[in-house]
Amino acid sequence: MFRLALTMLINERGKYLGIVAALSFTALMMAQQPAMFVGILSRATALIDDIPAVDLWVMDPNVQYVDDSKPMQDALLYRVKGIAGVEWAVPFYAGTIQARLPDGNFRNCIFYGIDDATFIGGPARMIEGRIADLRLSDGVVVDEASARGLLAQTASGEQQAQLSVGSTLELNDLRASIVGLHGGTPNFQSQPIIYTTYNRVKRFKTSDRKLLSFILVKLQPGADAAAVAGSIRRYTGLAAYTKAEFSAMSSNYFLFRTGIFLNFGASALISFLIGGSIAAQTFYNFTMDHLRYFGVLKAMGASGRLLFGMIALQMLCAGAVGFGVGIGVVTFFGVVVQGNTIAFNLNYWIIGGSAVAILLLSLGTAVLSSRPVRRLEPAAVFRG
Amino acid sequence: MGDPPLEMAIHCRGLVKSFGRGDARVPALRGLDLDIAYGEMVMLVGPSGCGKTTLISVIAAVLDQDAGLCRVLGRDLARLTQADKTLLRRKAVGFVFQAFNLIPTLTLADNVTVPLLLNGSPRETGRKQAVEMLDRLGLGGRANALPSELSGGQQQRVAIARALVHKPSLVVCDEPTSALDAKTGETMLHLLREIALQERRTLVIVTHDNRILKYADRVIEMSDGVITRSGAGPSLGPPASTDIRSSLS
Repeated sequence: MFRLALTMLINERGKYLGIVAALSFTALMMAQQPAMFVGILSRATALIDDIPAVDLWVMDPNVQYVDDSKPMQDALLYRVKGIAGVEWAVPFYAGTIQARLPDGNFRNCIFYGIDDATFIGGPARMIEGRIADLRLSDGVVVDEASARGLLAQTASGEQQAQLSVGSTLELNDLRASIVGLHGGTPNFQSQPIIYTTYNRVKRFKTSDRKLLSFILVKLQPGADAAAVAGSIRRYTGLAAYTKAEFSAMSSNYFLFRTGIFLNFGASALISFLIGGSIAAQTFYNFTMDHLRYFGVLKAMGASGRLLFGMIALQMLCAGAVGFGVGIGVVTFFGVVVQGNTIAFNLNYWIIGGSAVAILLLSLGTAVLSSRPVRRLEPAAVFRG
Repeated sequence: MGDPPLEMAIHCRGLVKSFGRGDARVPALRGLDLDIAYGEMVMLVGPSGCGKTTLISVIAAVLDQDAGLCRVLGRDLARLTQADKTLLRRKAVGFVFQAFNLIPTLTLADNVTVPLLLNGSPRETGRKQAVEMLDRLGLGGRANALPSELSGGQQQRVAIARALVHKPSLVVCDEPTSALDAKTGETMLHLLREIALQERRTLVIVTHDNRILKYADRVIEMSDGVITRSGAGPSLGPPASTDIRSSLS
């Protein structure tokens, strides 16, 4: 009987495709919007996540998230180095700088200054060149996507010659030489990311009196992170967080102090409601169109449970196909935008969540649609 | 009321059924008495609203009576739960409807297989039996066609195949010829009688079509919820032994 139930649905081509299309749209939006959201959120903490070997991030106590740079005196670096339990501490600059585009316009870029000696805080992955080449005169490392895109375009988006190792760039009216291309995670705002050494930042950012955004700390083996963080707070007045703490703090800021969660959440919810309503309405209509035949089956001895099973199977089948199509489209979208400036992170949690949403929608629709069948008296089949 | 004679497939005494409530209450059956023997082909006639369809609905266990006794195939319907009635219909009752009621998105074979699947037949076995039944009714070659590809007469033949394929003891038919022309209607009745009565199945047919009354063993006339007249139908003799398919050609 279940096979016949599926045949009944699939052979009703128009309605079946309508239900599948609505469910595909729902699954697509239920996965695509959260994937964008997670992608953006993971970019928000990309700087923290991409720097390995750092146990503590030390910063001005008023910093609320990773992009909220509040420069400190350089002398604080030496005070932190003197705290018991600290193996080493290096300076890190995080700010912005204006890069001149080929047409003379400017583009705002993220500008990081890393320790001159150790290059700790550098990009997670080098695509071309070596990070050590930052020692070369005027050396900077640019992210590959921007070298091909944002920094090689005019302000109106017209493509110019791409930047590569050996190209020069004008930063704050000063010449910079590209010595490498990195593949680090783009940041929250998807701006070009340029690395140089901490001391060279001082040459490009002459007007800034203080440049020390963060102090990156490695603990001695066996040292307790919480205890050392407490000592840093006590002796320097600075805030110190583990990577996990700082990452969570930054995520929470974007989640609860910006409208991003509300925007994406509302978008996903509205899509779910619209797509779900269309699918549910179309399936309900399908069931009502077949009410007479369900009545015939009832008269012929089909139990209420069997009829509900048939209706549930029809809807679950449409849900599974719609989910597959929707997730397929989202996955394709993810492949297309991979390495692009678009933030996108489709993980198993999102796929699972979308599957649960479609499952609940399908079951809810099946329950709703089965009500008239349940109420139908088998004698109704004789009423013509 | 006493026990019904053993050979009675249907035994009703004082059967009452009404619709609506209070002032709007409309009696459909008013203390009706009826006996139908196993293997008998009975036709119910009477004006619209006289209670014919209500009577076959109660007999077929798709509608609960309000009062009175209705024993069908040895079971007192008043004592059966809805689940028991569902089981009774599934195993022992075949239905032929005025509007055929074939599921339009299923093939003829699938439509005819439904009663067998409901009774737990494996799909392949059920399909084989369904095709065999369609073949007996001259539609074996169209097993994979959809109902919309057939004429009204052909569709009613499929409906008859569906009603008989699981070998029910009781077949109820509601105006089986009303959507057919006279010749096709007569052919349908001939087929129904041939196939159903070969195995002593009981047939109860509601009809307005006087031309088919000759096929009945007994004609029962109803009026205003009671039986007003009952008499033997014209004798048809024993079922013809000729192949049914040849009679269709």
